[in-house]
Amino acid sequence: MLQLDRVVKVFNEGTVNEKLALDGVSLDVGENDFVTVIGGNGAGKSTLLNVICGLHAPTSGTVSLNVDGVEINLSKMLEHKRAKYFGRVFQDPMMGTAATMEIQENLALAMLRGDRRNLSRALKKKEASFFQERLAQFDLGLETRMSSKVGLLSGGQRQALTLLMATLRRPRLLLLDEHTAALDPKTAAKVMEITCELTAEQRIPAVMITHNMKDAIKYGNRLIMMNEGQIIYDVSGEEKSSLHVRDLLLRFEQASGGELANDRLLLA
Amino acid sequence: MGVIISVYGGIGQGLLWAVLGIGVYLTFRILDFPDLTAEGTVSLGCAVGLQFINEDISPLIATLLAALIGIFAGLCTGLLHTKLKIPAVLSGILTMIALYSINIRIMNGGTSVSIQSSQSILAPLKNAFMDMGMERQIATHTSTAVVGLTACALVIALLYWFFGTQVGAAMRATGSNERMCRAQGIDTDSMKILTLCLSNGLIAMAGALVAQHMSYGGTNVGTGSIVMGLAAIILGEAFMGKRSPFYVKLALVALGSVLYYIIITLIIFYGLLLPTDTKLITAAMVVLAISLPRFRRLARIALDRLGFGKADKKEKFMMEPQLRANQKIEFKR
Ligand SMILES: Nc1ncnc2c1ncn2[C@@H]1O[C@H](COP(=O)(O)OP(=O)(O)OP(=O)(O)O)[C@@H](O)[C@H]1O
Ligand SMILES: [Mg+2]
Repeated sequence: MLQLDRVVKVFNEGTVNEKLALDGVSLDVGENDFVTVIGGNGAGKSTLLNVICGLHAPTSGTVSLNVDGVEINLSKMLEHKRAKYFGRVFQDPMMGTAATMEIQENLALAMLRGDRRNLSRALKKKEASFFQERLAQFDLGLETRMSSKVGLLSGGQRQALTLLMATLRRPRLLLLDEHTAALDPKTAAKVMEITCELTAEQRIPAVMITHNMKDAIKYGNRLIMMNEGQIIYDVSGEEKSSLHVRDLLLRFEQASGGELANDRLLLA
Repeated sequence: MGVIISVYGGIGQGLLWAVLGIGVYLTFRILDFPDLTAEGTVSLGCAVGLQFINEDISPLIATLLAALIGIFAGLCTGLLHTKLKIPAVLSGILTMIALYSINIRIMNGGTSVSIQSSQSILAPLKNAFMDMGMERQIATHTSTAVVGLTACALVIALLYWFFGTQVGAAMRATGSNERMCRAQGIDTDSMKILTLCLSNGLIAMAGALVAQHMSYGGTNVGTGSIVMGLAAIILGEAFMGKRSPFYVKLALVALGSVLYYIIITLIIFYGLLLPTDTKLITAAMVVLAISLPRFRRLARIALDRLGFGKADKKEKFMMEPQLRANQKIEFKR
């Protein structure tokens, strides 16, 4: 459904800071995929998601999306235009919500993702009670604080809210960039639970970056490992569910360790 | 008695200028965009308003036309910033400087224009009040206050409605978190341009109103107007609670503007300083208001060091990145 074809992303091209962040990534995410993505720091995981959502334009290659049988080339589409296809949750809990606005106002903004905004009321009564019902599902007590400013919420509450905002209108694909990394283990588990609930309920395909290898194995039907801007490992189905953390570590060390040996050789 | 009459006049002036304060509030506080166009836009409003009046156009229409043309000043700054990626402050300064020349063109080569006080939007009211037996000066001040209050009420009602709409909410969100907005499909560039247009429309309207009150206006009227607007905002914010509804916040900005003018009027009335010193006082007021929380924080930290007071919540938050780093190591192991 989502297709990346030989996507290359070079930052600061032609300067001393030139950085090849994506090195010809091809990827096909299916309608029923929940893909977990792992890889070391700077492997290009975030860049991958950012190229998909349009924050960065790829240096070369194409990103396209199949919407109800129609192939849409996203490469030239601006970030806010693409937003109708993607739900996004970021690593930083501050990033996904407007802190100075109320919980219900944030949800009302998300309710219009992909629509043209007009001069009718932003927050309709009927919607407000719908939002309240949806939040009550999470058991976080947020449903009683609909008119509180989001800035007063904890990181975990904010991520839960951001998740709801990302899925309030069913996106074609949910993009999660280490969305539990800034939370304590208990809250992270809760947010993961909500993630599974929401994606299962509406059958939303997802790409989830995580640094937690246990999570990467536990969740989803497919796992991708990235290193230096390339996908070095892509497993799914049974092979994926039978993986162990040490298998992944081994894989990872083979990939990056090999590089390390080369560096040593050069130095010697 | 004299001082009361002066203060009464100050209140009226403060209400007229309140429209500027509200315009500045939209950019500085809601959009979080330090828009310096205002200095030029005030004078633009003066020039356009008075010239139309001199062309025998009704003062009400002239005022609205001034607001309409002010919108283009905002549009210019907005396009410079969003399309040409010029930093916010510089975009405003560029438009402001360009407006200086444009304003002089509008005033047929002069740096100021004047009208007969009988031509102003205040005149019919003033005459009516005088017919009711009010003394000339009191009638002038009352008509100023009535027009100022009406303008503020209309502007606040309009903005309250507008910021409750889908577009208005998107504008507020843009000022709060741009990345989130784009993720939710909001065209943040358009929202910024729109806010700048709205703000500068109001500011030009304030210029036109003030110019009619003085029967005179020109390139110098706008000088220092941003800092004046900020002073009004800061004075108003002293009364704002975290949960104040939006219309209360706007009304408090208007109140801030009135307070500002009362202070200035008193300073001038008692001959404490020259009228030209007011800009210095205004700047000092803004500096003081902005730095007060800082001094308070420093005082609190000092108290903490000495063992008084509770540990700061912030410190807890600061530990988070470290926690995060530790989690990352898990992977690298
Ligand atoms: N906006 C940018 N400008 C310049 N370089 C960038 C930019 N964004 C990312 N990079 C570089 O591209 C490389 C890949 O970064 P990316 O953020 O995709 O890594 P990541 O796999 O998400 O790592 P992490 O686990 O640390 O989040 C890094 O070397 C990074 O420094
Ligand atoms: Mg990242």
